[in-house]
Amino acid sequence: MRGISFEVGAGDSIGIVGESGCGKSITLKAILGLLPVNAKVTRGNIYVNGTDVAGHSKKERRALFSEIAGMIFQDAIAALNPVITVGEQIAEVPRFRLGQSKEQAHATALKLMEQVGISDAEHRFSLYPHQLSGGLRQRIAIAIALSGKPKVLFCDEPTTALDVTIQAQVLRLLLELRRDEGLGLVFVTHDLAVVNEICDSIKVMYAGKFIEVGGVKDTFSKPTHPYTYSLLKAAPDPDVAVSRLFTIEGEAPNLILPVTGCPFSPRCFASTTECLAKEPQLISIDGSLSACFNGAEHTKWKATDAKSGAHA
Amino acid sequence: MSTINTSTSPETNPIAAKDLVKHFAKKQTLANRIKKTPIFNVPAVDGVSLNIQTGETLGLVGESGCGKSTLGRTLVGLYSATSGSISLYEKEVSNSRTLEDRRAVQMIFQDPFSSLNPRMTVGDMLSEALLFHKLVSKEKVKVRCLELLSLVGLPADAVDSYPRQFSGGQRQRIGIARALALEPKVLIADEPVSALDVSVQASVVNLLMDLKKDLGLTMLFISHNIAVVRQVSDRIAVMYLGRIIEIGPTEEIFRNPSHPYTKLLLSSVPKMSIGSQISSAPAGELPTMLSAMTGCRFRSRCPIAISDCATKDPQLVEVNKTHQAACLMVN
Repeated sequence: MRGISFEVGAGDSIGIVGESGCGKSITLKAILGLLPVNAKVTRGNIYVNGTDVAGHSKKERRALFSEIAGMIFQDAIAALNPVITVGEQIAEVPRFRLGQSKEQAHATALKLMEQVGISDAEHRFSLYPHQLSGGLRQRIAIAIALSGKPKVLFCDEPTTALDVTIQAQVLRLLLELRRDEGLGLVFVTHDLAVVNEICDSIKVMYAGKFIEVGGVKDTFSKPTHPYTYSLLKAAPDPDVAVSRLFTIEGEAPNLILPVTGCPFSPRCFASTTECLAKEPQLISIDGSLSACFNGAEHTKWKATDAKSGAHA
Repeated sequence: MSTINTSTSPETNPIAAKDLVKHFAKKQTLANRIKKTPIFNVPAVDGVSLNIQTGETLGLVGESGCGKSTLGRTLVGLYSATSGSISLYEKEVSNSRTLEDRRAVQMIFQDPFSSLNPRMTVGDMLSEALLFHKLVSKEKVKVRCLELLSLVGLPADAVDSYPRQFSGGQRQRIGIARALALEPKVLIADEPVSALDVSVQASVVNLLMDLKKDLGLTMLFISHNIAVVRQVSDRIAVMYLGRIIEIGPTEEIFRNPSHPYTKLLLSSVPKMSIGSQISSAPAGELPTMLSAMTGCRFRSRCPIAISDCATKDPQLVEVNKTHQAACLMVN
């Protein structure tokens, strides 16, 4: 991750997309202070309600974040404690942080379980994670994330491990929470179609940086960065069958080596000599931000690409 | 390239299964043994009949636990079938396959990390298969390995490298080269691109399609990713809890799904069209196969279930000549 800026307000829904290894998950972990020991935030600020918390100690930061943020992970079975019943895990925060009595916390947990669409909550309260299906486990994880009454829910690939019908249920639930409770969503995923379904704005990440930032509708209809354009074309569309899928040549760069020039230039069909020399920064193009020297000429290179058929 | 002594006229199906059943025995616990509870077997594949025509790609879709991988593995011969028959070019092979039968059906696995031996070079892996099946002499094996690598778009120096030196997409290409080394007639691809990133996924899918066309392969493409299956398949079979519940030409299935489960599955897929928002979320969870089932397996989640669904087990019936669905409410 190399220089990332964004903000989330109440009721916002932001999708961060990119391929594996581009730094999407690390972005969330850095904000929430969950980085592994071999990683650290070397520069930059993190603001919570206007206060910079990057310099805070772990404890201070935890206290602040516990009031505003919740997080759900890709792998719900790893995120849940296998030897405590799911109900107790949900009741933990209301009991010990919100200071509720055991009975109150129990009632709060049941209410949360109903809110995330778990039927027969009373019975399921006393089950262990292994006794539940994948979809139910992810609902429990969402209930735990909601138990501290967060303003923003950070979601790290929450539906990637789920079946498509269950994924639809969980996405629907997140949409409802956002609409009814004004919950902000930061949604990290590699699945563009999921972003299209539930987010308003999109941030496309490549080699540790945002390379395109904009509204979902704008970005999907007229991407201004060649990477976004290629990614959108490479994603198979369930509504349309094509004879041949669009491919992006090459592989994402290894960030152990220093980056010179635009990190996408070796794989880019529109790259120029300028791209090899300097690394482009985000600039405003047609209402969205794009880190491409040729971003303003997006209609031109799209037309050339379509004509050349190099990828067709 | 064919040395398999089977007729390849278009009428004979390279691979077909009839009433195929694969049960897994559930571990008998001590408590159950004392209580003398009868052993219940998990019917992962429970009466599947299908045939794949020469040069066709059949897409097999379904949710996790529906038995699609078990079906693939049983067809390859990695699992022996509990009952039913498998035939290659109309010759029944079932559970006793000759070396040639085994050569004719090869598999590509989902996980490009665990399906390659980390201590063997790519060259070793390919030559092992080639030499064991006596397809080339020892002197010519290296040349054949290089041919195979160029076939799947890998550089020649890959032959002396170990799997860890490659990225996920390249490893999947090694897996494809290994399957193709034996000049198979039928390729069973079990989620071949599910572990790959979108940009890499597209190039592996294109490679598979090219190889299929150039080598005249017949393919079973198993995937939970409906968008990918739509791009590669000529026909689609939808599986639910061990059964095929709908089968038909790809475009027909997408335009006119007949089984309520297929409809549910297709409507749950996130779309790429601008402004799309998940409108209706299906209810219910996928039941497990741990209890014996009567009637239609889908009825607990079905929006149009009637009382008959609890007692009658629906069989595949024709929607039209090429399209079948297993639902009492069809027609």
